[in-house]
Order: sequence, then C-alpha cells, then structure tokens
Amino acid sequence: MPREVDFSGVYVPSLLVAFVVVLPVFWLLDGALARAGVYRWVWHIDLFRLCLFVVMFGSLGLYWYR
Amino acid sequence: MNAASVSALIARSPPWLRDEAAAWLFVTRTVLGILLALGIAFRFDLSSPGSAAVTVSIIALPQAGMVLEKSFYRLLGTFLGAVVTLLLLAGLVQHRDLFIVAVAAWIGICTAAAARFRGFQAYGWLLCGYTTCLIGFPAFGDATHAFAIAVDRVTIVSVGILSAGVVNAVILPTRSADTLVHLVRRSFIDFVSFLDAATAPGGAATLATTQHQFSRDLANLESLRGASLFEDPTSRIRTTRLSAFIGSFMHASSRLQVLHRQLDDLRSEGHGPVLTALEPTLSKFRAVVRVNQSIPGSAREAAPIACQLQELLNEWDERQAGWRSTIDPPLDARGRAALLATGLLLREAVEHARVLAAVYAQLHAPRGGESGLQYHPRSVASDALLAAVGGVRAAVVLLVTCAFWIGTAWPEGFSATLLAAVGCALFASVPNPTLAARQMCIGFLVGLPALLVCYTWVLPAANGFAMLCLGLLPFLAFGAWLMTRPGQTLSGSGYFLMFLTGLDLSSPMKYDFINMCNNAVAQLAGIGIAAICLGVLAPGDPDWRRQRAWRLLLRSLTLAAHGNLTRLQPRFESRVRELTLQAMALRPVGRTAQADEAVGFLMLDIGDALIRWRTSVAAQGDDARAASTLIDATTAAVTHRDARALKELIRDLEDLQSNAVMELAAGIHDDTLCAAVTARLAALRTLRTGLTDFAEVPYAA
Repeated sequence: MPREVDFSGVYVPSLLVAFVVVLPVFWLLDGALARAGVYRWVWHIDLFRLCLFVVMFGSLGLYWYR
Repeated sequence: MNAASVSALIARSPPWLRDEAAAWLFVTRTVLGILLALGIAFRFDLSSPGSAAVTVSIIALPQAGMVLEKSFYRLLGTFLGAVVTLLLLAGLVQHRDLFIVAVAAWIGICTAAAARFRGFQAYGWLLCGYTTCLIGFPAFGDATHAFAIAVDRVTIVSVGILSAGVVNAVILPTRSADTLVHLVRRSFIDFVSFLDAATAPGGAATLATTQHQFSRDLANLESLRGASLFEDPTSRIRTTRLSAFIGSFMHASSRLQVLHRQLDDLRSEGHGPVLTALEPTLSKFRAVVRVNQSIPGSAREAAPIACQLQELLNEWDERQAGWRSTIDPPLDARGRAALLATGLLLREAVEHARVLAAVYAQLHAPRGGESGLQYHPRSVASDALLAAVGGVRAAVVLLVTCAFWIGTAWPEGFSATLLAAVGCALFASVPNPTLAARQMCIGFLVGLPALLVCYTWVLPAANGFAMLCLGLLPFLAFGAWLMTRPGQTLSGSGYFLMFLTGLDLSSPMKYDFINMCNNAVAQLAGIGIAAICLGVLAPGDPDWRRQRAWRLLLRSLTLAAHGNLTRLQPRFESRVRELTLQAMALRPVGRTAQADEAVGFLMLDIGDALIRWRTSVAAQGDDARAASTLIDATTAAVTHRDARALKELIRDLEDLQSNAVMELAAGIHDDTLCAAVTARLAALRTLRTGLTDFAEVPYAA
C-alpha cells in the first residue's frame, strides 16, 4: 500500500483513509457491544472504547504500511 | 454506574465542594486538552498550533457529551464552510469586491439559518458562515495555495477537536448521561409534588412557577439527551425511551394544570358536593403515585406505580357510571354536568400520569421496550423577521469593516474584520446580544495584559515543549477558571481568544513584538465593532424584541385553532413552552416573573381547550360552522387582547355551556350522547376558565 492515495489529483495520506475506513466499522462494533451489554462489565467505558478504536486503527495502519 | 465517572462522586459530596470540584475538574481537562493539542500540532509541524489550542478553548464545556456534540458540529461547519470557500474562490478569484460581497451574503444566510436551529446545531451553521471569511481572505491573495490553506484549517480544527474529545471523555470525565439520570429522577419527584399541589386547594401562583421550572427542565432534558447521544452507545439505546419520557412528562404536567384550574373553578363557584364526590378519587390519585407512602427516587422503584394507576382508572370507570344516575350523589343538572366534565379531565390526568410512570419504569431496563413509544421532537420556534435582521446585520458589518480595511490599507484589518463578523454572527440570536458582546470585550481586555506578560517574559525563557507547557499553565488555568465563574463564561472565551491568538505559537517561534501588539489592537477593535453594531443596529431595542416575542406567543394559538389535528397537542404544547421560555429570557432585570409566566401557561390551557373542542366537534361531525365561529372569536380576542371581545366571548361560552348542560340532562341515559356532550362540556369549561383568567392577568409586555 502506498503512503499516499491519489483521489483525482488530491493526495491523501493512507492513514487518513484507514481512519475513515475504521470509523464506521468501529461504530457498528461499538453499537453491537453496547447492545450485548458488554459495557456493563467495563470499568472505564470511554477509555475502553478509545483503546478499541486505537487497536483497530493501528492494526489496519500497520497492515497497510508493513 | 461507571466507576470512572467522577460526577457521581461529586454529586454525593457537600455543596461547597461540589461546585468547586466540578470547576477545577473542568480547568484540569481544558488545560490538558489545550496542551495536548499544542503538542500534537508541534509534533506534526502543522502551520498554526495556536489555532488548535483556540479550538480546544472554544469547545471547552463542563460535560463530555456537550464537548463531543459541539465538536461534531464544529467539524461539520468547518468542513462545509471550507468547501463553500473553495467554490467561491474558484468562481470569483479575479473579482475582489464581488468575492467580499459573496462572503458577506453567505455569512448572512448562515446566520439567519442558524436561528432555525437550536444549541450546537445553530453554532455549526454560524461556523459554516464565518469559515468562508477565515479561509477565504488569506487564500484570496494566494489563490494557488487556496486548497492547501483550506486543508490546513480543517486539519488544525480536527486536531483540536480530537484532543479535546479524548481528554474530556477519558480523563476524570463529567458525563452528561449521569446528569441526565439525576435530572430525570428529580423531574419525577417534582411531578409528584406538583400533583399534590394541583389536586389540593389554592396555590395557583406557585403552580405557574413550577410549570415554568418544568419548561426549563424539559429544555434541559432535551439538550442533555442530545449531548449524551455523543457519549456512548448505551445512551443511544435509551434515547427513544428518554424522548418518550420527556414527551409524557410535558403532557402529564399540562393535564394536571388543566385539572387544577377546573377544581379551583368548582371551588369558587361553590360546587361543594361535586368536590366531595371527586375527593375519594383525588386522594387515591395522590396516594398511588407513591410506593410505601414515599416518592420513588429511581426508575426501578417506580415500577409498581403504573399498575396502581391502571387500577385507579378501572375503579374510576365504575364510579363514573354511577355518577350518571340521578340519585347518587344528589345533584342538580348543573352540578352533575360539572361533575362529569371534571371527572373526564381527572381521568385524562390519571391516564397521562400512568403513561409517564410506565415510561419512567421502562428506563430502568438496559434495552428494549421501544415498541409503541412516541418520539417527541422538541419544537423550534423562532422569529423569522429577527433571524433575517440578524443575517443582514452580520453581512452589513462584514461589508463595512472590509471597506474600512481596504480603504485604509490597514495591515491587520483581517483580524478586525474576522472578529467583527464572528461577534455579530455568534451573538445574533442570544437574548441579550449587547451584554454578551460586552462580556466578550471584558475577556479580551483581561487577556491583553496576560498576553503581554507571557509574550515578553515567559515565552522567550521557554526552551522545549515541556518548559512551554509549564510556562503557559498558569495563564491557561486562569482562563479556564474564568469560564467556570457564573456569568463569566464568555469573558473566559474572550480571554482565551485574545491570549492564544495573540501568542501566535508556531515552530520555530517568530518574535515580533510590534506585530503582536498591532494584532491585539486589531482584535480589540474587531470585537468592539461587533459590540457597537449589536447595540446600535436593529434589533437593538429590547422592548421591541420583547413585544415581538409576546405577540408570537399569543399568535401560537392559531396553531391550536387551525393546525392538523393529528398529534396537535404535543406540537402545540412544546411550541408554547418554547416561546414562553424565549419571552421570559427577554424579561427586563428585576421584574417579577409571575405575571409573565401565567400568560404562557394560560396559553397552554386555552389552546388545550380549543383542541379539545375541535376534537369533540370532529367526533360528532355536526355544527362545524358554529364550532369554527367560536374558535375564530377566541383566537381574535386573545391575539388582539381585546378586553371587550373577551367579555362577550365569556358570556357566549356561558350560554353554550348551559345549552350543553340541558342536552346532557336530556340524554343522561344514552351512553354515546352522554360521552360526546361531556367532552364538549369539558372543552367549554376549560376554555371559559382559561379566558376568564386571561382577562384578569396583567398584560406582560
């Protein structure tokens, strides 16, 4: 995967693309976890969610950059 | 309950600690957010780290949900504004004057459009407007880099938003969801106390005050619900139920008020036996909204109430059948009619209280229970003329300052123009724009010495980011602390704007004392222009604005008189409550509130009666012409506050009422006829008492 993606002449860093791709996936997963009641067992919900997002985003970024 | 949420902990602490602790948590989060944004911006070598810090200070709010909501709309507004700027630049880059006119027009349109929205959505529109100014003017002289400038702006705003969002959500968060739970519980407790007061004799004056408090609570509940949506998905699961709770709370309290007015009317007319006949149901009503004689403090404890109220309803239906017999209780035709009509209103109040209790109990469940619940959108009522005036004013101010900037070739004219535009847009729709602008000016003036001290002694001594953070810390903490002082929030924002923009942090740091001073003066001039224009250009006259607000409130009756009958009651109620809040906000300082509140809540009653009347006539399907005459007469008399017309109308209503009484006496054994006439009679009675009180209340504006 190249470091930058060409959108009709505009170069966008592929990390930004990864961010945008991960966002809806995270949103769906987040909703599913909440509906399943997982967050009732989490001490600091927002920290957990932030870390979840970082893990997802980081995995995709590393996968593309490696 | 989330263990990391400190708001729950703070809520349990003593009062003196509660406010101060919340304030210092806010200070900590804001300062950390600003430093984090600065760090990221320096690390990635972005063009103006200072702007990222400004963004954090602008979206600094006491609760995480609010920060995230404001961030979301700020990002949306910035993005849309950037796109519009690029389009304008692409079309008009060779015509300077046309470009300025186009930007002014766009700002005007956005400012006017913002009045159609509430809270942070309105803020998003304002931002969408002045982002064209923010990006467009620097990019105009450097058109080949316009795209890069726009991308820079969006990037820097995103960095600020992400830092603020992460810090506010993760570090010692104060969550909107917790405040919401607290307020929902308190609302139910208040509702039960209101019920006690409304079904007991007297207390009309305090009832209007309580109702006004309810209107404010309803508005708060709605905005907290909106903010908590941005916090976490568990709030999203509950949001339909919460909306239904807000709607049924509004309904139930309005029904109680109608009932109270009728009971008072019966007392003053000397209908003792009627009241005696109603009393058992009333006292039982007061008893069954409690569990073990105490008001339930949480949704879980409130579970049995809905069932108890349902039992009361069944009991009422049996008793009502008995009321129609001519022997028990022994009443004349007029008394029996009053008993049946008031009984109908009582049944409605109980029914709505039951719905409220049922929805409240459902809030306890982690999920489910949405089926059959109604989503209650809060109405947005705004004065179209005032919105248009605000938009035109913002556009004119921008044009005038631009003309001054160009005419005098002022090097720092951009800062002044920008701030004048921002000030005019931002304060266009607040109740007291002059006061808001003055507060902002005070913030700028306080920020100036802080800026000078920091720029002259602190910044040159800071080598490295850690030292910069340490040096900035006291200045930032002071600004954040200023924002927590009641009534000084805007001063705090002004302070931050002056301080952070003036420092113009960048890497490598460029020291230019003269330039810094010139910029600071330009900023002061800009906000000064905004303050003057807001005070001088229409609608500067508060009396005029207040009169318009009251007229709008009285005119809301036309919605009840002519609106489509489906779900008309909630739409009308939320509109009247909204308009009353707006009119109250414009009340001059030191004026007693009670008369003003009373007018708003009489409008609720009169409108309710009109809707009731229309429904009963529509159900019977006859004498539609006579019905519309009554409706038109009421609307005209109330909107023009015509005392003579009101008196005539009340006399007509009394005639109509005695006709209905005779009709009821004749058809007391016919089930359908009796029900129809009782409904009509209830409408006539509520309308008459509402109008009588309206005629007596001292006019507000």
